[in-house]
Amino acid sequence: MIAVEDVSVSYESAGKRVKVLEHLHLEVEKGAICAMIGPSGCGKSTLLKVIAGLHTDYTGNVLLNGSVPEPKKDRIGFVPQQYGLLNWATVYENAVLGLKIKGDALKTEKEHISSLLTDLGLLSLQKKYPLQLSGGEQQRVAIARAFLLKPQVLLMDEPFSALDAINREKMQSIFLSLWEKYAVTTVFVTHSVEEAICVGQRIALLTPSPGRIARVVDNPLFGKEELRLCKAYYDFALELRKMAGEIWQ
Amino acid sequence: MAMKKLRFSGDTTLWAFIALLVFWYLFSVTLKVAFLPSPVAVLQNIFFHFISGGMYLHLFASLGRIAAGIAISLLIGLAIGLSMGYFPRFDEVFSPLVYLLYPIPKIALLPLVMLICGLGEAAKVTMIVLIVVFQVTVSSRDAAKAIPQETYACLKVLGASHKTMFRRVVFPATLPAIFSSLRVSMGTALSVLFFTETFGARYGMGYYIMNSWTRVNYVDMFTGIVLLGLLGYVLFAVIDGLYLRCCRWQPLGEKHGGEGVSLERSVK
Repeated sequence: MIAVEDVSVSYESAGKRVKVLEHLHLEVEKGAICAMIGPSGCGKSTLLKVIAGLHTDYTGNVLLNGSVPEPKKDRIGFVPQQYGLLNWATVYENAVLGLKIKGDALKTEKEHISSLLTDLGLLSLQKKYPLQLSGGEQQRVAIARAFLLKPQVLLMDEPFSALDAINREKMQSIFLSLWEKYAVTTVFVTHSVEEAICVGQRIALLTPSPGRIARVVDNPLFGKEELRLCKAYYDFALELRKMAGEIWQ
Repeated sequence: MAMKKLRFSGDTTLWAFIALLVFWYLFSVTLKVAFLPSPVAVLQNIFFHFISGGMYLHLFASLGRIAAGIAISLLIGLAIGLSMGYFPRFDEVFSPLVYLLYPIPKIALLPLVMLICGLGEAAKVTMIVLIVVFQVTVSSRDAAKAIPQETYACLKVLGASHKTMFRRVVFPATLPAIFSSLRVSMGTALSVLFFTETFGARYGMGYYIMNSWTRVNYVDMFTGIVLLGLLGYVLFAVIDGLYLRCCRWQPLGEKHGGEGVSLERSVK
């Protein structure tokens, strides 16, 4: 479970104090997935860094399963916008990087690794290097790395925003099926209302900078098959857009 | 990129070599001066020296000095340069020092180095190190600084230590830059080597060339010059070969067009 209580972050810039996050509350239950939408520059990425324990200069409390996040101890899956792959390592090496750094024996994970690579369609690309892959393929490697870690929490920072529409929808469904399989507590940051409806059980709307959670909406359409063919999907998207419009004015 | 292709295709190398010999030959025939012998005589002389084995001592003496000088420069330069690129504090302290020492013409320090290290090998290797180490330091520092923060963030989330960061990110990411600084250093090292071998040496290509000159044996002198050139060529080829092996991940050719072509494929 992820609990963010009254978190504020600010930094000094040209002698001025700039607030990035202000009194932010967020709770994601164990095994749940929360989508987060906000205008650009509202501190979404900073919030993820705080939850991941990368950014420790904040006030308030952040708890992962009841304790302060510590990258050295916790298993945190992180998928950034630009994939975060090591260009000099092969697809396979990139995928197992988390396991290696955590000191897990790759031998005992062999089946897990090959089944996940199969699910993501990466089996034939194992020996390639990231710069030889398409954007969608690189993103799948980043996701493989995150899930192979068997993370306690998964933090996704606009992971599909660099993909074209067709690949994005494909990746969303691949991601959801993996998420169901592994039941990982997830925060999924996006700037797209439609994507939030696809991947979020609950959808949190952030205010413009300094970021606060303005509203959390339950998503009645989560997990519905053929989502984009329902009228309800478009109605809900419209409703969310209106809500967001009021908040972001 | 096209340059790299050319350097490694055997045909073009051969043509360049032949063209050079033809020009040389034409010059030697038209000028008809003693200090420009015909390339035929020089090539014969090289062949003769290799059979008799008289040349190996000089070649290997030079090669050893170059190898030692470059190896030591890499060790020191990479340790300092990569640390400067990775730890901002380290950079703040060392940058002024490096910028202060870098522009001093180290070749002017030769007398001092000889006083400290004596006339032997140590002085020659020290001279190479003094000059090359700064090039390696500055270029490896800049390459390490150019690594985007996001690359680090992904490993930090995994709880990677500084040691892991160096092994998995800093070193491999800067390897292409290290290779190009090695190419630049190699050229510099060869010139410094020649200079140091003209003092207090009994072996080495520099000594051989200067000795032939004082003996007024121009064929021998050109033999030395050609061999020094060939030594450089072989060393550059070795560096390029290593680069192709170590940096396979780097795409070659059009960066923006379609699939990246791996180095290996396009070089053949």
